[in-house]
Parts: sequence; C-alpha cells; structure tokens
Amino acid sequence: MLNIKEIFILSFESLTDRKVRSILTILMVMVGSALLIAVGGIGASFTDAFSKQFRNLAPNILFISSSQQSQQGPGGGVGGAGTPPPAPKITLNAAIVNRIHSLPFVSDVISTYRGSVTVQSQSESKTDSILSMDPQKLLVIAPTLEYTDGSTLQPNNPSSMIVAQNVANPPGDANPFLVLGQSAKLTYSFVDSTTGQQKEESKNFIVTGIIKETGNPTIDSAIVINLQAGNSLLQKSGKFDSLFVIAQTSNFVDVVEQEIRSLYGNNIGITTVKAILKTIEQFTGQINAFLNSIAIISLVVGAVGIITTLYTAVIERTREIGTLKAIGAQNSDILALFLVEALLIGIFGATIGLLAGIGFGYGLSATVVPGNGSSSPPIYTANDMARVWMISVGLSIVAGVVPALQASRLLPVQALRSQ
Amino acid sequence: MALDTNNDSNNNNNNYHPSNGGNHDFAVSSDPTLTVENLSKVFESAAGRVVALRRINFTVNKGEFVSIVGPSGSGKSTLLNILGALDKPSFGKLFIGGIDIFLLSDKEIARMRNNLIGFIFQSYNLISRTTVQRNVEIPSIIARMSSKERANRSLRLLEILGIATKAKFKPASLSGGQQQRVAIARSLMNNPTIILADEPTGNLDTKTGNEVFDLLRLLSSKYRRTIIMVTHNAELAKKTDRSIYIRDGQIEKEILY
Repeated sequence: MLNIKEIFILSFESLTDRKVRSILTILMVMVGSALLIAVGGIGASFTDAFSKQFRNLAPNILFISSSQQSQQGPGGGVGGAGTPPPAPKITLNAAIVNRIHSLPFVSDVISTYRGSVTVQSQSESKTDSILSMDPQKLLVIAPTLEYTDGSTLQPNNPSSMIVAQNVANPPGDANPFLVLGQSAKLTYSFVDSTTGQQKEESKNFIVTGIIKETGNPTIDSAIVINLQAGNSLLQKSGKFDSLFVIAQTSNFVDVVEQEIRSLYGNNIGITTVKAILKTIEQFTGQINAFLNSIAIISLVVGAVGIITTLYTAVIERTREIGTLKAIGAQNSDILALFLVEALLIGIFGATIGLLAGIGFGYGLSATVVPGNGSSSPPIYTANDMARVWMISVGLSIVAGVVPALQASRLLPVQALRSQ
Repeated sequence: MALDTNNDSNNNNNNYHPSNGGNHDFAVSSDPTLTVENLSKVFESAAGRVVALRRINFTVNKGEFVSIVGPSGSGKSTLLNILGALDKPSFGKLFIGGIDIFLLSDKEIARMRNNLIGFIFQSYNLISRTTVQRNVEIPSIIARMSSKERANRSLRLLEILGIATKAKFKPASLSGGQQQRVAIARSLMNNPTIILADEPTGNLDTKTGNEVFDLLRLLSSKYRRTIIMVTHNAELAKKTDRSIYIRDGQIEKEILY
C-alpha cells in the first residue's frame, strides 16, 4: 500500500500533468472561497459600522415619535435605520412631555423639532437637516460627543447654530462650507395650511460650534439650533416631532416603555436603542446570509468543477489505473490518489482564494460600498478565514469522493482493456 | 550480467504467503510455481453466454518459459489475466506457490500481484507524465521499499537493460524497444517469481522484438524466473521451453521443445 508522502507526490504529478485543467478547476474553487472571504469581511464591516454608530447612543434612551413626521424633510429620526414605528396618532406637545417626565424611572425628556432647510453660505447653498433641541442635552443622547476647538455652546441664543463636521466640511468638498463664527441663512419651505400656498421662512444664524464625528447618523448630519429658534423657523407651533426619553438606567428602559405604552397604547411610536440594534443585527444578518449564499453557490460550482475534472481524469487514466492495479495497487490506493488530487485542488484553491478574497474585499469596500467617503475597511477574523478555508477544502474532498470511488472500483482487467 | 540486484536470485527458501505482504525480497518458491485446475471462464453478454475458457489444466514449474499460443479470440489473453489474478475464473482453481489464489481477499491478491508477479504488456503501459526511473520504481513504491533502495535497484535494472542513460527521460521520448525494456525493468523491480507477458514483442519490429525476447529468455534460463508469455507468433513460441496451444477456449495441444 502506498505511503502518504508518495500518494501526495503521485497526485501532485497528476495535477501538473494537466496544468490548464487543474488551474481552471483551482480557479473555480478560488473564486468561491474568495467571494466567501470578501463578502464575509464586508458583511462584518457593515455590521460593525452599524453597531458602532448605534452603540454611541446611550442605551437608556427611548425614542418617541409623533404624527408630524410626514412634514419633515429627509432628516429622519435617530432610529432611521430601524423598523418604522407603528403609525403614531398623538401630537407630541408640552403636556405629553410633562406627563412622560412624571413617569417613574424617567430622569429627563428631551423634545426636538426636525426639518429640512436650505443653508446659504456666501454664494453656495446646500440642503441640510435641522435638529432643534436644547444644545446642552446633546451630551445626554450622544455621550461621546465632542466639539472642535473654539466651539461655544450658547443654549439660550436663538441665532446660534451648532453644525456637524460633515455639514461644515462636506466630504469630497475642497473648501469648508461653514466655519466657526460665520453667518449663514437658513430657509425653511412649507405649505401654509390655511391658504395652501408655498411659503418660506428664513433666518440668519451664526456658527458657534462644530461637532466632531460621533458615529450617530442623525447628529453627524445635523444642524442643531435651540428649541425656540426651531419652533419659529420650522413653523411647529409647539408640536414636537420626537422626544428622547431618558430612563434612569438602561435596566428601566423596558419598564418605561411599558408605562408609556399603557398611557398611549399604539398611538405613539416608541423605539429603543436595544430594539434598533436588534433590528440592525437582523438586517445585516439577512444581507450577510444572502451574500454568503451567493458565495456558497459559486463554491458549489467549484465543487462541480472538481467532479468534472476528476471524472475526466478517471476516464482518461482508466488504463493507468488498470496498470497500477496490475502491479499491486489496492483499491484504497487508487481512492486515496484521486481524493488527494481533490484535496490538493481544494487546498490550492482555498488558500489562493483566501488571499484573493482579502484583496477583493478591500477593493470592493473602496469602490462599490457607498458612503460618506469614510467607508469602513472589511473585517477579517482568523476564525472566519479558517472556517472558509475548511469549507472550501472540505467541499473539494466531498466533490472528489464519487470520482475517486469510481476509479477505485474499476476492475483491473476492464481498466487495462481501456484505450 | 547480474540481474538480481539483491544477489539473492537463487534464494529458494520462501513460499509466498499473504501475510508476507510488503516483503519485496520475496524469493522463488518450490516447484511447481503455478497450477491451473479445471479453469473455465464464461462471459454473460447481450449476445448470450460466451465460454472463453473451458476446463483448462496445466502446471508451470519454476524457471520454466511457457508460451500460450493461439489465434485472436482463442482465450489466451483471458487465461493470462486469470493467471495474473486480474480477473476471476467462473470455475476452477489457480494455485501459486501452493496457495489457492482466489480464496484470498482482494487486498491479499493485490499484495500478491505486487510481490510475486511481474506484468509486461504489449503496449508497455508506462505512465507518460513521470520519468523512466519513476515508472520502474512504482511497484516498489507500492511495496514501500525505502527510497534509497528503490533508487539503487531501479538504476541497476535500467543499467542491466541498457537504458540507464534514459532514467530521467519521459517514456514518450524513448523508442518502442526502449519502452518495453522499461516495462521489463518495472516488472522485475520487486524481484517477482513469475513474469506474465502479453504479446511483449507485438508492437516491436523483428530485431527489437528478438532483443526483448532474448531478455525474457535470459530471465528464465539464468535467473530462474518463471515466464508465461502470450503470443500469436508460432515461430517465437518455438524458442520457449513449452507451448500451450489454445483454440476456442480449450487447450488444443502442448509442445515441449
């Protein structure tokens, strides 16, 4: 019986004897494992980026939304990536804020107005989102928030605006759009409910602060003005768009949610950070599963390639198999020779695919992944790479079983008659 | 010329036994080497039942050079395949070294082929992708001979057969006669007792065929290897010790020269 070393040498010789076919088969396996690696890396990067963004939110926060949401611009809610809350029917006003504030385990309620405005800075204008709230409460909803040097909070100044870094320095723009101390005109367009006519409300603001990137998508794309200014500019008449309810600790979030639910039933939209994260995990999980299924299909195609290649090899080498059996090779030797060929194809394909997949992932994330210019690099873990490598090699061996069994079961006398 | 590179060609004290598997120093057994008893082979095909061999009986002794002669379709190759345990008979028995071969398991039969029998095929059956030397070494690789020993032995055999300079060549670059010498070297690699040759000169010109035949003759006369050669060439058969003529699956006659 052949020893392991000789089996590997003989199998490798067989592969090198039909170089082109072997290389093409290896390429098929390579593509499958490269896709699995690249997709896995990008998927992990997506999940990580989403998680990072929302983990910056304080876990003791509940988001309450109102029926005024339809009047807002594209700014959306803080939980914009999450499941849309059930259609709220209650108008959020000061009375509701006070009622919620009085609930047990609630330490604060932060009210906000939202809207989309046109910002005119010198000769340039852009559309941005307004987050109107008490600027001092920004640190409550985004505890990691930091300002650039020179920023000052002027919570009671109705002409002060604090802008996110991305608003002040839009990605891709050579020059800053807004700088500290600069004046800019904010214009809000709306339809007058009594006349039905399109109207505009404009006001000049001074940039008093710039927020460094927080990872929170709402804050990172917002212009923050105080409630008084927001109510006036956005024509809200004291009807809030959303509330941030701050529970005493994250342990009380569920209790507070139940309390609010018991007061307003399904007429109010409630979202928690925990629920958002869960939804994001489900979303990214489904995306990853879909992308992985595509990659696995390509790996299966690679396995079919191995079956085809080895079947062809068995047919071409039938006489050789007969000769080997005539000179003493056992069925298990022939089985091992073909299985090791499949194994070698798998090892080469998976290893090259692993390296190619890493590069492919970086290339994809740099070119295809849309974003704000700061797309996250793919994340590769040793465990994931080992798993893909083993799946690729394992599938290759499985693909080799049937042709190898066919070769090993050939009767020597019949095999020798083959032309 | 010293064909036996182990210098044990006259070792006469070991009978083959399956438990000896892997013993490449297997040596020649006591007489008789090979006995066929009432051997029959029937093929079932769509066209019906075909009796390829019918109650064949003969014995071949150690060192004897026997030719099996007959026209195409007479059953001579079928008989040789059964003698080499490449095929099983429908009825009858085959004894090699006193052992009823077809009572052995497939593994034991494979081991016996590796240790006890050397095959020479009409079309050489060399593995084209590897070198001449590695082709010669394959039986010893299966027998797990050490790499050093098999390199020494294969080179020695190639030297004896006059093709040592071709050791690192691929078989396709050799002439037919040279390729058959490689096949002969391969058949001798594990120092077998019996050599089965199926039309070994069939693909060669007369001169080269004679040279190859002379090598086989030498193996039998000088080194006491038992040789059974299938041929349809009556003239060549006359140069062997004995010819068994087969026609329609039956022994027509035996001629002792």
